[in-house]
Amino acid sequence: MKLSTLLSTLLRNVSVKQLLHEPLRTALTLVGIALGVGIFTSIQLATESAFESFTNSTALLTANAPLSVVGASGSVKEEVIAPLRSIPGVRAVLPQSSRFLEVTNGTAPLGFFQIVGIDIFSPALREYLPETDALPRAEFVKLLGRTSAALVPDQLKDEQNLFIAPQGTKEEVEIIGTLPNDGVSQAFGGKILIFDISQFQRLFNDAGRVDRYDLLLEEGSSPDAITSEILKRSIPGITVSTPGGERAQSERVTAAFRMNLRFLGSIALFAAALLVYNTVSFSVLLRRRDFGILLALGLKQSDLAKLILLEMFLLGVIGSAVGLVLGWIFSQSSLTLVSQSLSTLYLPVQVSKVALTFEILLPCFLLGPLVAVSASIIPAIETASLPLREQLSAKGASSPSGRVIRSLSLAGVALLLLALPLSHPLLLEQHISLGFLSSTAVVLGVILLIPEALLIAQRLLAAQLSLSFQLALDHIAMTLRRNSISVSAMAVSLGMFLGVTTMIASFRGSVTGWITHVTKADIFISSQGVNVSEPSATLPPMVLSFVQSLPGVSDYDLLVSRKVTIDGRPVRVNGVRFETIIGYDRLPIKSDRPLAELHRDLQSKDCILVSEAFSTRSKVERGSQVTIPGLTGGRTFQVCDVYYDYASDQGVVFIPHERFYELFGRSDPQGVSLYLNDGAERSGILELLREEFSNTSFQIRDNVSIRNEVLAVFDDTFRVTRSLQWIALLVSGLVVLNTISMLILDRTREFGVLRAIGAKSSQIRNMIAAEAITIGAVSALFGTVLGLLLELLLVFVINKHFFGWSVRMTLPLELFVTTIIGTVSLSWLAGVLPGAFFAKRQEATVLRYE
Amino acid sequence: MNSPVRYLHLFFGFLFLLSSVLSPTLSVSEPSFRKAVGDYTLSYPRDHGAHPEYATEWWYFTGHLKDDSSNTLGFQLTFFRVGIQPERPTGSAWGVDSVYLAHFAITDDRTKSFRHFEDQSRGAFGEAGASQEGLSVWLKDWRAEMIGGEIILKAKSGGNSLSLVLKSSKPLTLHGQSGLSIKGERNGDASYYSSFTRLTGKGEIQLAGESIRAVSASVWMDQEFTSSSLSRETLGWDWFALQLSDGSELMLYQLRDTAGKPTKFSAGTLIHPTGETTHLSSSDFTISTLSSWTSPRSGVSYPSKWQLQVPQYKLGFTVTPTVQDQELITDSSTGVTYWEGRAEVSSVEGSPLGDAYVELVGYQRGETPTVAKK
Repeated sequence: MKLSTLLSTLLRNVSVKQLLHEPLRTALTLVGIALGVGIFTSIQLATESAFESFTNSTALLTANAPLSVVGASGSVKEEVIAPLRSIPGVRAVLPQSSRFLEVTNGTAPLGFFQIVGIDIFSPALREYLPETDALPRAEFVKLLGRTSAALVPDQLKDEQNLFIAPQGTKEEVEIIGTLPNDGVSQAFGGKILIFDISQFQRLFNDAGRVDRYDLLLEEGSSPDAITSEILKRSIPGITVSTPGGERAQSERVTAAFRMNLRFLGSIALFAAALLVYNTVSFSVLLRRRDFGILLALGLKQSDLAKLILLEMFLLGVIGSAVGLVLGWIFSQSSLTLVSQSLSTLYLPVQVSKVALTFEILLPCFLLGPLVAVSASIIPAIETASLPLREQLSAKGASSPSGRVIRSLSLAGVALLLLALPLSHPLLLEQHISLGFLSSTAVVLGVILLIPEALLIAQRLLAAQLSLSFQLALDHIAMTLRRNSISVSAMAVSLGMFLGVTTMIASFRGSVTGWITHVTKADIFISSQGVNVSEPSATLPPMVLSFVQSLPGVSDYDLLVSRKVTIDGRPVRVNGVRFETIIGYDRLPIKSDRPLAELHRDLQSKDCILVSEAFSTRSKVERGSQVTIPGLTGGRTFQVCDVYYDYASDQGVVFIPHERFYELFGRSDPQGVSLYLNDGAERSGILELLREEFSNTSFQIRDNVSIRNEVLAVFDDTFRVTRSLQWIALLVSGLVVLNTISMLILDRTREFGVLRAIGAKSSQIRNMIAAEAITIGAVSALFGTVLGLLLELLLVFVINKHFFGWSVRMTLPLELFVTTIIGTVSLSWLAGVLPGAFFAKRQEATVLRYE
Repeated sequence: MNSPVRYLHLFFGFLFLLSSVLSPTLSVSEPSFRKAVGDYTLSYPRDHGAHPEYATEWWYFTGHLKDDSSNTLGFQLTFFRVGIQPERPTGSAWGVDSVYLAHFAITDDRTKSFRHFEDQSRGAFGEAGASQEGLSVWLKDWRAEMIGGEIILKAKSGGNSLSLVLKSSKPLTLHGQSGLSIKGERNGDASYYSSFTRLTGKGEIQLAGESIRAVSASVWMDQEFTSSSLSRETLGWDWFALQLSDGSELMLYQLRDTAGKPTKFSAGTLIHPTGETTHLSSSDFTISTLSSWTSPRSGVSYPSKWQLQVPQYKLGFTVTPTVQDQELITDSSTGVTYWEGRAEVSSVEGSPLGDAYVELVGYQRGETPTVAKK
């Protein structure tokens, strides 16, 4: 008989029947695989969909422009269009500006929209923005002449009223045409309004500049040649970029967040793989007697090994298929979380659809069979090579030799030691992914120490404990391989849970301290913004005049803000009054020097303050020089000091108002902060302000509510991380349940024999409970160690290096204690319930089970 | 004719054409634009320039060219100004009072080929514009301007270029009543209209892939401004501008109603060799279609050979396109598909009598040309 025919016959007649005969065991195996694959798939799908949307949304607006002229100062002087047009080979020069602004329908907010201004009358518009092709031409002209006339996504076409407030006061948007539900509209999740550039400039009081010019070239013109031609003309304040370059920049901006997600996703994958591995290897071991029978009937050992692998492969395929479906279901909520975090950290990104692509799904699908087969290789070879008698006894030699265990421990120690240089800042600067490697080394290192630890526990504790515990520990030692895997799976998922939870707690603590420091003003009036630190509209002059006339206000400061590009990264430049900043000690300065000294420096030198993230990224310290690009060229400043800041991972620079206006021209402020006299009634002043500006979209808040809002933003940012935290907890619980259930199933016959020879049901129950508690306790112990190590890595390596934030580490002891108690209790419960069930069954029934 | 009321093809022609594209804007902006009611006194050369207080304006050049080897060509260069609002808004250099559109076409009789180009601009940062002081209108590097007594035309696109220096051999023709051309029953259904019916001169032409050729030119120029639009009952029109070898010119246009019949607003102008003009009303002439041509690109059927009769002056002409396919599909500017091309004029018996330019608009709406029975 051919091997393939033999295997298929055996698979059909033996494996399938066996698997169906033991539905609980089969279901547990499948659930393990499916959950592992599902978790990984959901994270992959959500991450890829969100990032793809983030990267593509802006690119879609300039899809056909091979070159763009942008200003490092965040915008370019609009008159540079004249020299650009005159370059031979340039067919069209298309202006574009955009802001994020909240849109309402008069009664309810519809969310933040990308408000875009383009030359709606350009002959190249249809190739630039193909969505406009289907729109009636006559409608276009209305966009030129009518105030607030816009193209809106199709889904808004039935809205009776749409309002925006680019300068605080509401403007009604006139819907001229709709954009189809694909292309840019889809990329922005249906949250985009397109205006003519003239209307945009009027709305935002942004005359004289545009964010960028996109260049369309004559056929046959080389982008490189045009680029060098542009550079030859030495137009001040501009740089030339390509779509590839912009994509790279977008990816660079989000690299830290991406790496962080990948890091967390990888830990989840690792836990998931262990869950699969654990399930499958148990499944093989439990089937050992069936396989023995096959050998007794004359099946060759090599064919048996192949049969086992094939069977597990098929289970892997089925589990993976179910896992993909689960992953898709989970990904809907993961996507929302990733998008929210991306929006909070960088730019609003609206993704409502998970992108199911072959490139993402294939590796996820392969995960199931791959891990299932690799998990069963060793048990399969071992099972096939065992003497027939041992096969039929349904017990295998599952304990590796002492030498092997020692080697594993040494390897573990070596990996832990290796993690130290891998996380060194000097190396991380060169290769950011080394942080990921060092975490992997820590996880593997800790896992490899588990067999030794289990043996030590058995040696140290066996003599001290009751008979039940002695038997349990003996059994753990005998079946060390499988128990090590179970403990590893539980420890990794617990470690991940603890690491992430403590990191968030540490981070939140640091942010709470920081926000209290930076919100010393009593009242803040700001224009609309995507979040607290990203204003996108301005306040009209009437705000200032009203504020100046208010009784009880002792001082105020204006915030003018602009996003520029320094070293290829976006940096926010805030124009402020240093007297106020220093006078009220509003910034947590990194150095310990007296504020008076800093104040002197700021007054006497052309000085700026930079955020820690900027200092880390741009490698500048106190005394360094920084050139800030302006509309007509850059200006170099000296860094007076570095301050702690968690508002942006891209960096913030504070410069005096007058320098700000020199660089970017006069503009209305985006925010005003008010300092009240002692004894002034804050609530009364707040009420006055709200009443005065009731018809505007200004945000008027006191420092308490702004602090709460910042913390809410923080919590939003960490929603993805938190979801991973709960995934880890779920995996831990499942691993515990799976491990203990399998353990009991595995020992059904043994319990039957024990009952037959007179063991009491309580003794069996205690034995099961003891084993479950021991496994749970060791897992919790290792999980705690791993959690601490991961927190150290996350706080001091990942966050510091990826985001540039210093975080003060906290150790929530109650969390560790709760987790340990919880894990042991869950293990006990997972053992005691089925244990009670088995203990009560008549010995004959139990014996017949086999 | 007792009354020298003259109707101009382009007023109807491109006003209709533009209004079909821009009518919602015009209908909204119209009240703020000045109406052509005869309260404006024309003064040249200033009034060759732009009139932003009126909603629509165009400068229209069609001409016949001959190179040193006696090869004949035709060209069309048209600039449209469409007012969005009478005053340029403040607050943005991109703010628009008028937008500009332009069409450029060349017909090569030798190779029986036709090429056309179009462009548009909002005029920001000097990309397009029109002087209010005299004739100077441009859109990127397409330009028409009067310097001294000479009119200079320049256009290039897709490797094709045209450059001409022209001088009028006849005085400026003011149509209608001192330049006010009444075209409808409502107050303001009129335009201010003037034309040079025979500009002659020299220049150069280059067709893509060919060398530059020196050419002599005989060109017709129209300029018209208004704030009104055509009635909805008008489906389209056929327009003829004949430059005859005896030194006279004849312009006829026939407006067609929704049934394809000529309306009472169809009219014409006879310009005598002396420069004197005679208005022709719809009853003074007949236009018969002798054959038709269907565009393989748009599928639109156009008339393609005509017999024009002006019995009062014993005039009869056969007008035959030199190239059948002179169709402009202007998706990137006005969005209208029409036929505008060079034709030869002969007597009914077949003797050559001159050149003509013909414009056919409105056939894309499904109208089938009625070919006269032989």
